[in-house]
Amino acid sequence: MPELDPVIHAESRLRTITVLNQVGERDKIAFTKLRKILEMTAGNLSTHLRKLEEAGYVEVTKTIEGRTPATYVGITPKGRAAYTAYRDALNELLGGA
Amino acid sequence: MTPQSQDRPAEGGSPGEGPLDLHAALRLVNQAETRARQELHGNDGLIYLIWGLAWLVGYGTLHGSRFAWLPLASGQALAIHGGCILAALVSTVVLVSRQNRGIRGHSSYLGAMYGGGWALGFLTMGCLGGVVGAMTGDFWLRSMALNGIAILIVGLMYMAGGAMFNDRNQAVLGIWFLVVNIVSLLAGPLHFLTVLAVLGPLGFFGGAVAGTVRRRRLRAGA
Repeated sequence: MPELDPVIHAESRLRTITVLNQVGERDKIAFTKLRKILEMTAGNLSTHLRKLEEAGYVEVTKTIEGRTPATYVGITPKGRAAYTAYRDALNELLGGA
Repeated sequence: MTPQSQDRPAEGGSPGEGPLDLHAALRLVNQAETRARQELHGNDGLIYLIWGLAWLVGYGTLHGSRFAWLPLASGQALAIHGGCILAALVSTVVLVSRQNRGIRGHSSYLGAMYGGGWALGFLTMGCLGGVVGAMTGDFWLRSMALNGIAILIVGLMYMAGGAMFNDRNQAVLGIWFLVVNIVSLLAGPLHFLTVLAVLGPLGFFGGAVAGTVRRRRLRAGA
């Protein structure tokens, strides 16, 4: 019986890594745009991103755009592999749904 | 073990988040994927609609001037046509910039190369305009030649865009415009405008319908 990755199997982190997987491994999304898509507060999103970052599933980059600091987030190859494994496990547990 | 018996609360979930069962997890994944696609892929249907209207009014005005069903000199009709194309171009740039804001990486590189391809293609066409103008003084023959070059660029760029962004609608539109271009050139200086005024907007409106259907399907899947 497959196990679900506890880092991913939490509502906010599951939604976050799903969106980052859609953005793709070769792109990064601005924190503000990610927050808008997920409709989460900045504090809540930061908390969950930190947990995903600690697991090595996402990479957070801070930069300057013009004169404004900006934060970009992207899924890592390890995160993509973990997400794919999570989806496979979920489908298997649901009987191939 | 049934899926229900595997249902479990989220380990390490944030305070205030309820237990996450397997069906809820699958539902969340589908909803988040749909929302991400909607936000990241933009509204192609609207862009095609704008271009369809620009071609309909622009080429329609040229056609009206050519066949005298509009009281406009050819120069005036050309100015209106140019205004329509410019308005559609500005609208497209605004919509695409808004859509791509907040994303960087490989797709930004692809977008820059694709945008650069359009700009350089039409810059070349502008230079060719002077050459073609020196070759013939016939306004409508010159117009046919320049439109032939412009639509060749449009068709090839749409086909390239379809391949780069894995967008079948765009690729089909590219093929459509290349075929329309051949038909309009074969129709000759007298009838090329009729072909472009009818089949051009038809292609764009078809693309608008396909883009809207695709967007609604995505939304329905949420």
